[in-house]
Amino acid sequence: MSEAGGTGQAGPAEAVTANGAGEPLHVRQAYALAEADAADEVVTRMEAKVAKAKQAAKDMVATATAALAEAQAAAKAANEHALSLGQEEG
Amino acid sequence: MAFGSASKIFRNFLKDCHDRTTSALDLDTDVPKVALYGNTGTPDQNATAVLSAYNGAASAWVTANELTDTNWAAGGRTLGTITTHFADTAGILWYDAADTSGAGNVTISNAYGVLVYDDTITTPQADIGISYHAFTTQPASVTAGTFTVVWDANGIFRYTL
Repeated sequence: MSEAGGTGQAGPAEAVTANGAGEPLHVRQAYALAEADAADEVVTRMEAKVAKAKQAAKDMVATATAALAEAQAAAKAANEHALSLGQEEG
Repeated sequence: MAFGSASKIFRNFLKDCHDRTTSALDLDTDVPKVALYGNTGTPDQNATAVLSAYNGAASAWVTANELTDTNWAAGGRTLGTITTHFADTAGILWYDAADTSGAGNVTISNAYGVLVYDDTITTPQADIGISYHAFTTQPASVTAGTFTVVWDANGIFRYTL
């Protein structure tokens, strides 16, 4: 993807079906357990997302602050240089 | 107007990954969903954010085009057991999950494919699309039975660098 000749693909999907599978109690229990597991997985992922978001926010502020200081220093130096050349000419 | 037989990653999704227009995007932690669609609406991999989003206005993914059942409700099923292979295979990044099934027996007619979208993202565009996947055998139908979306052996999507 990032180089010439790279590719990115979404894979095809297959729909597998079985008519009239029936839903006795043990099947419904299995479905319910799977739903509970899935819900727990979502909670875990959202907790991780919050933690990452907090860290990312800190990193972005630190990066932006450092970049601002660097840009301000560079601008100050450039302006001082331009000023000194102007004074030399005068 | 038809779903077609192609499976594609949305260009807008990759754009967002690179320019962070959707700064909250994080496939390590987000929870995408899988919504079922019939043969109305034409997927477009080059669609804008809103036109690639689940129920995006005037998109192929509006709820009017979606197929639902009590056990495959509007909005779709949550992608589970997600595995991100972003740093474990040389020259390849890929994203996979467990096959996606209904919450019980379902009755669905004439399903042509699915939209995978990021249900965690709310702004600047809610539910942005990640990819769409055509079924290898179209259409797929089931009556009071099991319906499982089996993901490709190469995952939901894969980049070969």
